[in-house]
Amino acid sequence: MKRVSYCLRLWRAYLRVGFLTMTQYPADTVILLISMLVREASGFVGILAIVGVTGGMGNWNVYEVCILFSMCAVIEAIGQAFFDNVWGMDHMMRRGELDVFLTRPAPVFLQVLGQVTHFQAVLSLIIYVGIFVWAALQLNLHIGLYEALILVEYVIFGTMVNSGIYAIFNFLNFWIVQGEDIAVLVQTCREFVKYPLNVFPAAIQGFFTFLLPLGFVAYYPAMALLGKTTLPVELMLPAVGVFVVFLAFLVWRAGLRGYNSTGT
Amino acid sequence: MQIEVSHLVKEYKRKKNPENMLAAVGQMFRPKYEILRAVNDINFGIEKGEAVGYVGPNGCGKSTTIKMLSGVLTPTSGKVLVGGLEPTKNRQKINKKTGIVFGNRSVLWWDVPIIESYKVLQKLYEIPEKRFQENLEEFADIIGIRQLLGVPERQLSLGQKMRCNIAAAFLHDPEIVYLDEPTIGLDSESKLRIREFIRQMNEERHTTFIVTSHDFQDIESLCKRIILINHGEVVVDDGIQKIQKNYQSKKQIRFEMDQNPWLETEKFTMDGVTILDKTPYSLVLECEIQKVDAMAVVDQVSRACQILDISIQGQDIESIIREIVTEKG
Repeated sequence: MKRVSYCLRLWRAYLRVGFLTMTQYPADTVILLISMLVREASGFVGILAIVGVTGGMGNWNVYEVCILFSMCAVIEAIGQAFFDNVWGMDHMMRRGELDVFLTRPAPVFLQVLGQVTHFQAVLSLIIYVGIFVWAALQLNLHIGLYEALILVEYVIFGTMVNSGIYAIFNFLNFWIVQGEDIAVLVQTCREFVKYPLNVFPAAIQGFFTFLLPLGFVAYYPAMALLGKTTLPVELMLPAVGVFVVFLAFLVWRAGLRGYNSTGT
Repeated sequence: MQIEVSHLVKEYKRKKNPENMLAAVGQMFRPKYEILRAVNDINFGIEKGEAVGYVGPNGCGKSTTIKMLSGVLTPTSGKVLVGGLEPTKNRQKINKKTGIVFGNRSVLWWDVPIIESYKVLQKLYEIPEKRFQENLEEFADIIGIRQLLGVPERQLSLGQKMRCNIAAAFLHDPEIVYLDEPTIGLDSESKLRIREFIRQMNEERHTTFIVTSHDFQDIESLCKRIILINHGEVVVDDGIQKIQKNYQSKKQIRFEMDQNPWLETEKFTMDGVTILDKTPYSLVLECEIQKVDAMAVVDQVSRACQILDISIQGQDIESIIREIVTEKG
């Protein structure tokens, strides 16, 4: 318990630095914010146009597609805000920053995450939440106890799945030199899950459910919210989230152990 | 003994350099490794409050040893004990009592005022607020960072940055501090400031230091003892003064005189003495102390002319170390 409160205090100190960094460069903040919005919205605008003409995509109407998109983007924004430095693994190993973290009395992974926080992403998150609320109002979405539970679970476990998968592939840097390239490839694949997965062939659905479970970031929670499925999403989310994070933990531990013995 | 190192060995696996293109393609599938022994059976002990210079040529295993002491690397075999504990198994516990300074990299945040970075370290090392303020207050003047605390690191010069980084390593009252090239690339004012600060910490707080540096002024002004390693092995481990006495092989004598009787000759009249430089009114000799006594040389010169001024200089520690390395290497 003492350890947890220590980590939380340290985390807060890191967040403070992240916040101050954002306020140091107002122009950069605006540029970064715009680039994040564009990156997430790219492709989506096109889909929106098609859906606008055809009136829907599969059994999803325009507003439902908006719900899915915004849910997907919210999770990505949380990742960008607080867990973005898993993308820095490569860089930190090369420059020996990992060595510095190893000489300190705090968990190394916490130090890795704390090193970089992007508060700008919190701003883009607010915009996505706005889109979600707007679409939910258009749909007259009923938010009862079940939907509230799904929403809470989705934020927690969706983040665990999303950032956990990024982390796993970035941890490959412990063993191979260009691990980041694979992680970028994974991020590119993630484009698929911004769309209703059921419009794709079964193979792609299966891939994002069982192999690379990015479908649990937004697609399955959105289906549960919109009453499109009878699957026990409220049970699947925690299971997949915990599983991915546990896997990431194992990979991290193995990587760090190898790093200790080789120093490469 | 605060630090005990016994029979320490560290081996790296390195991909073998292929001889030709074909071998290179073959190695993509079946890599051949060669074992590289970076540290080979090193033994030493360091008492609390000692300041030790850990020196040796590039690639001799210095930083590998430091990494094993600080728990970054696991030894291949042998034992490291820091405060009676094994670093790799008790990393976080030991780290709380150690500090580390890397001369070539900063541990502070680039974009925020220095004091904000310090505040993160305060949380990281769980430094009580009162102690944190006291240390800050004390360091601010000794190392000259009072004016820098409110400035983001990106606006500081290299010397200022390094001073801030060194102070950062002492905020948590460490018992041991590893300094890896602490003054690399700095101007003499910053170097002086940093040495003064480290010396004061050593004297007043009895902080143990291990300094690796290629700048022998650092070593000479900070340490009383030198551990010289080469090819992963300890070559010399002794007090600086003792090393100077034991390994000193040459002395330089500079004369100023009314006229120089050796102006036309190449060789000095005594064995073991060579002429380094000469003008009509001055003479610089180097004598090997094994063969000839410096006073005898002075005698000899004074018989031939009238000496106006004289200075005798022993070899500095840097050239002694260089000689040991080339002799035994």
